[in-house]
Amino acid sequence: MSTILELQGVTKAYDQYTVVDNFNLQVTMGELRCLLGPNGAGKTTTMDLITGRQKMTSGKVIFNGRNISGMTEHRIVQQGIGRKFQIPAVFKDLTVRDNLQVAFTRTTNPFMNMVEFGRGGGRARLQEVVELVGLEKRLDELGGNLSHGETQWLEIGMVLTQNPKLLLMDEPTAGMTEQETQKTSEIFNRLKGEHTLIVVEHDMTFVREIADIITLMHLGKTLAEGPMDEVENNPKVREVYLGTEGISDAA
Amino acid sequence: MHKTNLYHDKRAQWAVYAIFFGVLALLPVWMGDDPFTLNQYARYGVFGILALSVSLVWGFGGILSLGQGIAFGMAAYGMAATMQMQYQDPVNDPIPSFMLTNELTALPTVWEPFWNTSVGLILSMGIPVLFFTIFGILIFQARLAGAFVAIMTLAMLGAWYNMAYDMQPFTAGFNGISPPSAFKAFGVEVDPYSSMIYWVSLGVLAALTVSTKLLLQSKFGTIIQAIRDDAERARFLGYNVAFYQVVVFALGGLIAALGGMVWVIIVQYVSPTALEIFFSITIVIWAAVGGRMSLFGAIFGAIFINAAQSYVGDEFQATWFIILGTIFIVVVRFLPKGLAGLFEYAISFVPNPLPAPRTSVNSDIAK
Ligand SMILES: Nc1ncnc2c1ncn2[C@@H]1O[C@H](COP(=O)(O)OP(=O)(O)O)[C@@H](O)[C@H]1O
Ligand SMILES: [Mg+2]
Repeated sequence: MSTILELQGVTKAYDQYTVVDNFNLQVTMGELRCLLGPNGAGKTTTMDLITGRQKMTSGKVIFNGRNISGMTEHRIVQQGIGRKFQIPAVFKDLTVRDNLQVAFTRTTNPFMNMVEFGRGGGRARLQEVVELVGLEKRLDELGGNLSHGETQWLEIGMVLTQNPKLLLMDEPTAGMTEQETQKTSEIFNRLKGEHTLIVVEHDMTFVREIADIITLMHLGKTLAEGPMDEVENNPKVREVYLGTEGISDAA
Repeated sequence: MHKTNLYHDKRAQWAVYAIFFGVLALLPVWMGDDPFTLNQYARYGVFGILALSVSLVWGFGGILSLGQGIAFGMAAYGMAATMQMQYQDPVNDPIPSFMLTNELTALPTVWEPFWNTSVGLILSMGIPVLFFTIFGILIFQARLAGAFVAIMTLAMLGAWYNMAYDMQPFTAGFNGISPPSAFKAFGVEVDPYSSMIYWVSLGVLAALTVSTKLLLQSKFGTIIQAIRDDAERARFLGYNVAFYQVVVFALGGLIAALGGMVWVIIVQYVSPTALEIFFSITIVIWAAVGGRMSLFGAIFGAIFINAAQSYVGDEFQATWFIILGTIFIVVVRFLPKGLAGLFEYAISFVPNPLPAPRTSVNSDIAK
């Protein structure tokens, strides 16, 4: 199986404080990887470094056989990386339909988009996404009027509309009710195989339901990596979480 | 009947444009040829054009530019130079009189191209757009936004004002340039006190409004509003945000420049007042009061406030700026979408009588 994403010695340091410390990661095509770790472990920063939102101090990110380190954000996205933010971000003054419309990027050139009145393709894709995230009835609603769960789904839907090769999801179930989380894990299980995903999560029930392999981060480094039960029984992990009930308590 | 607010119905919006511009076009026929009123109304058309540029750039593009006067003023000087050179004679009288009083013995090189009217028109339009493009690249590549953009555009406007003021031999400084004859193109003279000037001004306003409306209905229009809402989200959908912002900013400059050109045809005069900071801020107030997120609202705001100003008469002129400032504060505080927002709210109680447009996901999502 081929590797789609590889992080080589990725490091991010502020003054003396190293937030991501010589971090290595390999993700295989079609895999769903869960990135776990306590608050402040460096998970969001890692996503920032992959997507160019922050500049890394040292290291290399190889995506699809190409070194993407140092590229601007939109160029990295155009290589095929989509991202959902930890704090859900949708376009509040646009309708759900327009939010998805903007995410459908046949071309990102401003001049081409001036003569684009959307009579062409893309409908099938949007139809599919709307059904998948269950927002059929909310298409005319403004993004700013959605409930918290719906906002999360809309953002997931937008990332899916982009149809990226790799999807980065930062805490997609944060703030969701149990029911909403359940629905989200169904969505993710349907995405598995078709897409490659890296998901940052705190909800262990959710992780158990969706994850193939888990990477556990601690202080910017990999503490353990492997299937769920293996990571849970890792003595190093038990040491770090000593006195707690294991990684389930990390949230 | 269906649920969509009539205000958001595109068919209703186009109908309002058609009625508005249709009625205005017939105005000279109806009220007869009162040259001074027609000249006055033509000026309102230019104010509408300026408010339109602010609506596009600020209301839809999220860029608060206090420097629309830069494009307006540059184009106004270009147009004045063009009209001045139409008056000069290449053999007997090649140098404008204000230059002679400033002891110039030859026409400055920068003035040479304006002998040719077409070149003059292209430069009047093209130089502001080029300037806004370069200035925009500097601002938006650095990812400046909000108050920083407002301050930078304001400072730049101040610099241009001083330049126009100080370059006496080229611009006639404080006195300004008053071309002695009306603008002529294609063998036609545009008399500034006639129905023709009114139609020229209204025609440019209508054409720019319709083009801007179409632009906003294209995908480009949706994307710039998305960038206004959340630039970071748009960037991570793969858009080069700065590129879009530069294009919006330059288009706003183009609209304001066309306003400046029409202005000089109407008033046959330009001076550094076109580049005054207060004037550019006033344009933003017109758009805010009328409703910056509505092209029609912004245009209406410009006309409404100027009509009100001339209506209150001379005894209030001294306090007018205080009145205007008060209106602005009230609107910003209580009506963020201006009068258009108030109208949007009021009309939401009126059932939409138009048949529902196709709304199935299939036919409509990619619209
Ligand atoms: N600008 C910054 N300067 C210094 N430290 C920062 C900065 N931004 C984030 N950090 C630190 O980096 C660490 C990792 O943060 P983050 O990647 O958000 O963690 P996680 O997503 O795993 O909760 C935190 O300890 C945070 O305080
Ligand atoms: Mg985080």
